[in-house]
Amino acid sequence: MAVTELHTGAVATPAEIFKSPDAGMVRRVLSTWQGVVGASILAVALFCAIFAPWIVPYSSADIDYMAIMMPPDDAHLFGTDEVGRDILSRCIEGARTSLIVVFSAVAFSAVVGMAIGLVAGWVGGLTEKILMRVMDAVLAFPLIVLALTIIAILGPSLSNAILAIGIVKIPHFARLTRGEVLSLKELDYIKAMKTLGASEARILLRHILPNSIGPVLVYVSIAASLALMTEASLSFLGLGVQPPTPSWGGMVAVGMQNYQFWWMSIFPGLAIFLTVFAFNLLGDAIRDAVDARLQ
Amino acid sequence: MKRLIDYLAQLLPLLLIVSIVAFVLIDLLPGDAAMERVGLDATQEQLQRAREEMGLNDPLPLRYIYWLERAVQGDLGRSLRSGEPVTATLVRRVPVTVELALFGTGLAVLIGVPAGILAAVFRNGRIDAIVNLLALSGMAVPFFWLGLLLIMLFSLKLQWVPPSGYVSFAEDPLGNLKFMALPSLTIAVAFAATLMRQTRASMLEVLTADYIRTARAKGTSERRVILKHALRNALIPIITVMGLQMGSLLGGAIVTETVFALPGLGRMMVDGIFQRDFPSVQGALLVIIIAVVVTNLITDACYRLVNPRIK
Repeated sequence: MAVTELHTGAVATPAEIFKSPDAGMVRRVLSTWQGVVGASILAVALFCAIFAPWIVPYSSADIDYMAIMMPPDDAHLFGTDEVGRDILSRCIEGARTSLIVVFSAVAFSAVVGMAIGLVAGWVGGLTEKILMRVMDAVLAFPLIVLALTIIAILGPSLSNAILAIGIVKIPHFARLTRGEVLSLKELDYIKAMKTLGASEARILLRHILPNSIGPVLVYVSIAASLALMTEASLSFLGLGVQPPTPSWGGMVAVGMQNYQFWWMSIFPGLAIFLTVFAFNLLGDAIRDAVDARLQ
Repeated sequence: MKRLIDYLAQLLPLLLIVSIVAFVLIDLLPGDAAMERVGLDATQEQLQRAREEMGLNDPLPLRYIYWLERAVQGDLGRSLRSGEPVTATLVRRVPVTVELALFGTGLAVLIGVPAGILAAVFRNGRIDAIVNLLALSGMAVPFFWLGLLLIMLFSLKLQWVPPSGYVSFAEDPLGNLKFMALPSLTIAVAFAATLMRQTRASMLEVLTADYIRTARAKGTSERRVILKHALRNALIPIITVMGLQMGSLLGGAIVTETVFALPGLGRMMVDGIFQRDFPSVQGALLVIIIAVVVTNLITDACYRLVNPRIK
């Protein structure tokens, strides 16, 4: 009980105000056009990803040699591809592929990155120096270059794409978390808990971790946008998701070889563009909402 | 001068760690110098023997030192496919990527900085909203898709420039520019979007400063206030962002080179991965990392020299 009182009595620092998003923040995000447009586009993408098998007009694997590279018409709204598969259906299932990669990769990098940031910030000293210097070194690599190298080591596949993108994003989360931990560590109530003999694990998991999660959540939207772009680029290069699994980047690559048939590349490309655009908009809206609260 | 030496002393550890990370990655890549010597069809025993002879079974730190020694002397091994020394391939390919990066950066500055100034001057107005929307779109458009759209419009429909291919500037200057036009524009768009946002933000910050009010009060023309007083000071963060974007620029170049069939570093790396030609992948990787790290260091140093307030 004494601990809680100390906490409420402490002078508020940015780290303390900066708690995880609450209902008020969601409302503030959705009161901007960026928030509304971003969230709406993502809701559509998420709907497609979850309900893909039930809403596709054709199975994405249905090959129809009688309807190869047909332009958009009433039967195939987005046209058909080089083996007569329905492009609309493949775009819908592509949402599932892309979002699986994005969510898994971002979750992986957030968990590992937060663990590294937590340890570095809490333990300090040489451990912190070494961990953070390694993170700096990883950050020096361009995203796609590091992802390509990891794919070269592991071989191209969906799960390796997740792993590659996940590893590439770790340093960002580690840095954010470490920064938060460093300022939380100095708060009176944490010091008091230490004095009262609370175990380190308890302080870290029950107090430091929940309070340092705010900035991580703010960064998630930007990380998702970068992850999607990287996944699409890898799949475009033929080093990400492998056919016949539909992926937007892979579809654009096939469309490029048949560029007279514009619909083959325009629609999947548009899907990537809109989804990345939506993640960026939402990221802007969330950042503004948090900034407003800090002021 | 002392500051410069201090600064360089701080950088050495970073360079060292980057080179270690690069080495560990390269070491993890399948295939090694021994495979290079005995060929791809050699038996396991032949490979093992060659490894032993070449010291490839030594502990990792020792191998790192050997590798660094050879790399510093410019020996990066030979391509497993063509047998050509990797350094020779790099000498041919680096200029293509450098040209692409330079043109891309130039175009991005020409588009991004004026657009950012306009958005800041007319902030919260219609121009600001349009520029902002364009910037958001520019950041969301995938390089490969934008490249394809540009090919469809300018090569297939309007037939202004060839869709893909390359001749060097020395061979045919005009032809070179024609081949480079679309790829440069492709990588410039996302970069211009970032620059625009940074320019707008820095200009807005500077425009509220006291000395701007003083300049206006003295009766300086608005044009002069914006271009001379404000822009000069807003340029520092803009230049920093430019330097820090080098990594994404080179990343974009990799994908863009594939779309336009440009024989640069990115294609070297991607082709190398497909052909399991790992010395080539390593060589390209190393050059890209060095380029990024060195650019970041130069930017950082410039920033500190230009702005004495940063210690």
